[in-house]
Amino acid sequence: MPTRRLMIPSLLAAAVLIAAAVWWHAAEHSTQHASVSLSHRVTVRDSISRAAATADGRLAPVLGLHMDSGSFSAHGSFRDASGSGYTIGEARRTDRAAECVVVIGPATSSACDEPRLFSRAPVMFIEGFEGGPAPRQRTSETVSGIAAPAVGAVIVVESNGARHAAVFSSGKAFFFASPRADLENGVYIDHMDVLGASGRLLQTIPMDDAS
Amino acid sequence: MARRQPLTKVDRPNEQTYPEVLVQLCRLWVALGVACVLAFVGARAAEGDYTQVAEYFRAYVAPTQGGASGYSGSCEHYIVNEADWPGASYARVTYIDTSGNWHYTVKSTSSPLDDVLTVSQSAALGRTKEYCQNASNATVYLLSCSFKIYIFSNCA
Repeated sequence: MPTRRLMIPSLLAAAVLIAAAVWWHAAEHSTQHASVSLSHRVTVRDSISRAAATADGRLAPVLGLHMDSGSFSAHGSFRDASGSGYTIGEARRTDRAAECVVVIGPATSSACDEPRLFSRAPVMFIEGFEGGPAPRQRTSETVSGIAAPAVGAVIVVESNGARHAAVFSSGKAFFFASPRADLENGVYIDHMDVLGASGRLLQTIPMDDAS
Repeated sequence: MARRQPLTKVDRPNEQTYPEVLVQLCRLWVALGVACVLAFVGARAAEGDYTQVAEYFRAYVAPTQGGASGYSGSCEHYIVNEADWPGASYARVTYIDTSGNWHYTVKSTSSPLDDVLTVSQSAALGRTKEYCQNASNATVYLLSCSFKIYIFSNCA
């Protein structure tokens, strides 16, 4: 019967049309956030977590865009007063010749220099805080980084004049967490003094994080 | 005495006059409707969760100026916030909830700067937008910022 012969092709056509409609709906959705869209879509099998298995079977941290997770190497680990752990290391980018300091704490962050670490300065660091942005509204504030071999110490100077030596690891990673009482009193990190192995001042880095 | 004809033939005379082709077409349309529903459900189920990357801001910005993405929907979570600028001066990226509170804020003089959350960390914040800002004191520079967002495909 002619209508029976029509049925199967019609069903297939309908299925193709519906699948195309779903794809179009998803593609449309992908651009709604961006004024300048570079969007691409990647299907994921597992919910994104802190670490993922690499091709060779070992676990690597999940890093930012265009970061080579497999190149990550840790320089040191620290804990703040609340017990939160921070692992500081380095990794490369895949989209440009750049090396980055990586901080795996409550979140994971990275900041890069081109073409190598310390191309611009003897320390590479990331300042992080929770809450705010006004200093008095912050519930935690940290400075995490790695230092070039010539660096002997990093002194964090707060807005009340207090000076704190950042804790160093043997791998030249350093870490400082603002005391909770200072945060509650609106004290913020004013600057860092980077000292050489002999104690000579190599660089003063303004932080000026009052806002 | 003449025998009476069955009532069906008298009261519903058209029933027996439907062409067979109309009956078949009716069945065809019902089957098409069912197939459409099944295909839609199947296509959505096969789609799976996915991530998307896009630039949400690009402009020359003075100190304290910046740009933000739109707020995430109920079935999606921002998981990466990246700022790219010439470096040397400070930039800052953060996640802002619907009450205006900042979360997981990071700042650096080294570019690009990435701030990465897990899906569960981002979900715990509820709906968020990403924000990037020139955090220097005096330098105007070109700031471009991108997000990665995790989208649950099977989400009401």
